[in-house]
Amino acid sequence: MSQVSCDKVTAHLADYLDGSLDEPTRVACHQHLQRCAPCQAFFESYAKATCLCKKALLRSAPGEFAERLKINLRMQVTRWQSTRRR
Amino acid sequence: MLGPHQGGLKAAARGEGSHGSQDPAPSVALSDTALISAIQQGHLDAFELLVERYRDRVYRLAYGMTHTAVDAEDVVQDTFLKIFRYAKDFRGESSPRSWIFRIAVNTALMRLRQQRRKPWVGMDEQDVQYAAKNSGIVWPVGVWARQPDDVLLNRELSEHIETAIRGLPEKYRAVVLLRDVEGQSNEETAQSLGITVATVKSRLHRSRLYVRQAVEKYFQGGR
Repeated sequence: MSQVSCDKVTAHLADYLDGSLDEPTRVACHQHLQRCAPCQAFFESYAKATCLCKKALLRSAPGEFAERLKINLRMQVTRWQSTRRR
Repeated sequence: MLGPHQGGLKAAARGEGSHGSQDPAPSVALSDTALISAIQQGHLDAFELLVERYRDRVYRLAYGMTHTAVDAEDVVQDTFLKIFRYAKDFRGESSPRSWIFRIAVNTALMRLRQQRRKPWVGMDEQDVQYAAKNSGIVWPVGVWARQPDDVLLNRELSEHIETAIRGLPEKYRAVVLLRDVEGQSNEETAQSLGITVATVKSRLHRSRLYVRQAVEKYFQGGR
């Protein structure tokens, strides 16, 4: 793949970002991005939005839930085990 | 909870990961596979270690799917109960992580199905495809993409992104959460969702285009 169109590059963005393209396609995309400013800008925004999305959705379970979960699971699992032993 | 098999679990931990005379912390030493194997033999402490290890990840997935803390907590609890009950059926055909997430996703989907009485206000699949197709290059793309993440990501933008994700169909949402948030590979995500790798890639790309468009819109003032 020596040259790729803007549409093709857009279609490959996910694999390009994830580093999972085969080498000829990766090089072709890379070269296209270097000489096509709109595609380069689009790729940057695609990568940035993906990164922001991950950070926006990162969260931990609330601390008091962790404790409650432990107690509930202990109770239910023990009950389930004793039922099975009968 | 330290069950009657604690000694056996520690022995397993020593066998798998100990180097030198010091006992490693079991949660560090035991692999997921070893923990599930111990759970199959009735080790309750192995179960608690697995819960500790995956609690936040399952909660994040559950919250991302259901969008309320109450539902997410119920999904987490149901997921771990199923893991304990069905550990005996785990054959190692997929990775433990994929198996755990598969149970979590299915539990979340079941929860959502029970709530279908509520009117659906999110996008359907055609909408995502339309949004992806029409999120093509618009010149000039905002300079926001060149700003550092910590400059951009305030509470308002986080909520904007969460709202966008909430608008995705569930099967797209699950791919974003497993692939981009939990960092699973395409293959693991495919295993967790019971779909092909090609479908994972397609849904991921469309979802990312959709999120990109939502973020772009935010910075253009169309919040």
